[in-house]
Amino acid sequence: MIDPQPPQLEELLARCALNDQAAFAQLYKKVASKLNGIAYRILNNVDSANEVLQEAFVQIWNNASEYRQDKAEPMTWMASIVRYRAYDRIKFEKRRIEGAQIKADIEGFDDIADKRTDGIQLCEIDQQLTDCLADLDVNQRKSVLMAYYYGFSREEISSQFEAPINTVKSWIRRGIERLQQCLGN
Amino acid sequence: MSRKLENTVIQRYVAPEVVDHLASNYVTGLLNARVTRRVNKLRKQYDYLALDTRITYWEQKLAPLNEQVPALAPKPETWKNIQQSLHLTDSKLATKQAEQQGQSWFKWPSLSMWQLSSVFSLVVCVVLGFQLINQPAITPTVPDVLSYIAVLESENETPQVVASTYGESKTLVLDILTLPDIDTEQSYELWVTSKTDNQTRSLGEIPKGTTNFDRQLSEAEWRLIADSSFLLISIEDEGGSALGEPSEDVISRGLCIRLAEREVQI
Repeated sequence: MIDPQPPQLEELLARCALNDQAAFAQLYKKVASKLNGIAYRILNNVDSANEVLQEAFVQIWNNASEYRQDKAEPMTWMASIVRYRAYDRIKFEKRRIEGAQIKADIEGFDDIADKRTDGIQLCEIDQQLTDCLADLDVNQRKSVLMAYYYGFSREEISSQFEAPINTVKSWIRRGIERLQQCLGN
Repeated sequence: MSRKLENTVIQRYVAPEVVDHLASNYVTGLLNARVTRRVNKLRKQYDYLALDTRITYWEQKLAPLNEQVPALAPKPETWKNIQQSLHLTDSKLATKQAEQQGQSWFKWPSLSMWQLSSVFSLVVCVVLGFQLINQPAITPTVPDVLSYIAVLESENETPQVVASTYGESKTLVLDILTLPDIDTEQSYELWVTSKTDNQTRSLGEIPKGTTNFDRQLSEAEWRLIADSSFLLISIEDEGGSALGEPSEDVISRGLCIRLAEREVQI
């Protein structure tokens, strides 16, 4: 007898929409650590990350019927919920931007350009995105990634770079425009 | 508000350049709270379908960036809190699965201090013994090659935390034997001191009230471990050290020993 395949995330979300609590527990078991990691990356605080994870899963349960398989991957949909909740929270919390680890990671953004030159893909980032990010100017790339990864505001990026806020706005605007052109519509 | 003005506002939010600006900045978290709330409302309305479509576009395009973010095991109580928030206590199966996920495999019996002390010493010996003899490690969730290990001890040489890192998955595992009580407004923070430049850098907070904690390390964090001479734990204000260096309240410290023979990529 062939063992049944474990349920996919799409199926678990569909069952959550039908108030299947066991499916919800399975979904949590499958993705909670990854989503918590995404929240932690932005918030840099274990307790806050767990609180955001909790809020996000309440939202996932309540809005599971809104998930559309034809529009987004299930992990993208859930990760977006977590990121937006984390961005909301960080606007109300004092950030620890002085942390040495964040600085090290920001310096590591240079690897995106370096590794493409060497023909090596940066971890699991897909090739198209790697190439497009590598084509940005270094400050454009860092600004966009600092916002996405850590939820930095323009003011915080300006402070990190010790650059005028209007310069940072320009980096971000041009960076996103170039990224969009490169990624295609 | 006049009908004319209302229509003007609607037109603004369907203009392609405005839609693109809003969508990209929404996905990268760059909108302020007020505009974010407005976008949250608009994207659910049929008239602004283009806005929702562009948000989905950016979410999908940037989603690969999330793949390299290290996972972090949630605290056991998080699932219970979710269940309570949603009143999901009726499902026996859900509860059972959550307990399997969140609860420790071993409940501490009521023991006196000397008994606990003996148990802690025994645990350290067993963990170290098995990990040194039987590679990959015994930690069931990380079937991997044990690369580095550090036993962090208090000033009076009481083992407090066993820190292990696994090379294949770049996972950090902390077995917390005992740590001093701290206030609710304080937290434990793990640090690594470099062999090369003798600088001490943060590896993040350790959740309170857990006996076992594991998380994936980023590339930068793995480099710190590979170059480490010892690990230490300090007590900081909640949220971690604001200065990027440990406070004077260092409670635990241990040499980091490399175990894996094969070359670790840095």
